[in-house]
Amino acid sequence: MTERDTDLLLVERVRAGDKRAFELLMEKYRRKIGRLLSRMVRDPEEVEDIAQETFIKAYRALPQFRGDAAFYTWLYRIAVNTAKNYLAARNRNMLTVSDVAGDEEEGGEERYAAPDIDTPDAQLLSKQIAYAVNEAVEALPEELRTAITLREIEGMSYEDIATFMGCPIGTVRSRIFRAREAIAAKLRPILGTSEDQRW
Amino acid sequence: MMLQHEPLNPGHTEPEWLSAFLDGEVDDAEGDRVLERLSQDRTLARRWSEYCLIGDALRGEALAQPGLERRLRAALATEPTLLAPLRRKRSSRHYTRPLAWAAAAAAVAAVTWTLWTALPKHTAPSQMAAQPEAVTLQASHVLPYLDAHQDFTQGVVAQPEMRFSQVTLVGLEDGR
Repeated sequence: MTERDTDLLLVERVRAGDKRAFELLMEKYRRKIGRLLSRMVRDPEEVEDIAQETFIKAYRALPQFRGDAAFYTWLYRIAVNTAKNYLAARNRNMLTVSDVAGDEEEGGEERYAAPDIDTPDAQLLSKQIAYAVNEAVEALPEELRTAITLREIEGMSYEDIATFMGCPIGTVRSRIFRAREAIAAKLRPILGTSEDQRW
Repeated sequence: MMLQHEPLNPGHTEPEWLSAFLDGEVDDAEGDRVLERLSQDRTLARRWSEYCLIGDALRGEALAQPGLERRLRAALATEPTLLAPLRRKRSSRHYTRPLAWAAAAAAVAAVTWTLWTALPKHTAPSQMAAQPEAVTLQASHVLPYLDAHQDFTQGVVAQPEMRFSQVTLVGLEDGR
């Protein structure tokens, strides 16, 4: 199974009548979609509107999803098309994805970065999360830090990480899990959740 | 691959398997079990949320949108339940690898056998016996042809299965 297969398994569950499986997909991708949309639309309220419309459209169109492309690729297309339609309907100018990419290359990221797209509370929360995660990662033992970094930032498979670190795959799985748990423990006070809190 | 075939056992906690599941590092059966537990256990679902957030934060994508999560759930709650089962079509990266190698080896063996049986055998004596008789041609008819095509003669490689006839030229008077 790959990460793409994990998504496909969730899609299968949704199509079999399990709506909670779609919540898991939304939870996995809502920040990524939010970030994508925030580069196309400046108004944070509009970003949330379009994000909501994107996920609901995706949910309704799920019976047509055949799994030929990765779920996120499919979702990404829906998000971009929804944003275009949304803004076209309001006769508004929008930044295209290529415009944004060009601006980023030229150091134009500041114009579309987080400070412009969210409320002060959300900005503060974003900063707190980033700070807590970075601090927690720095405090991790070397082998845990390496494992979680290779997985989350480099996107390496457990097999590749095991080869790189010279340890069994089971050890890699354990290290990544322990790293996530250690970071989550630092995040919970910020998120206002406890270890046993239910969703 | 070791991980995919390890059964869930008391030494491995559910959150540990959830973590591996998020990374796509469990097999189908284990994935089904994790999902089953996820639908029953809200604390496990909270961990899923935390793990996703950690990954996004590490990649610099942790844009806080506290209202969006609630809005999405509320919107989804008003949607009808889907009933359109999807047949699995997975990449099965790890555990089908031995099968893939076996299939490739079988295919190579089949092609080799087919070619081996289809190609003519190099049984020279029988072929030679089947070749036509020697031919005698007038040099005056053939020489212009040979002159015109002599550039290509170096490129001709005689294969054992090529049939040829011995040709004797007569009427050569200028010693060519």
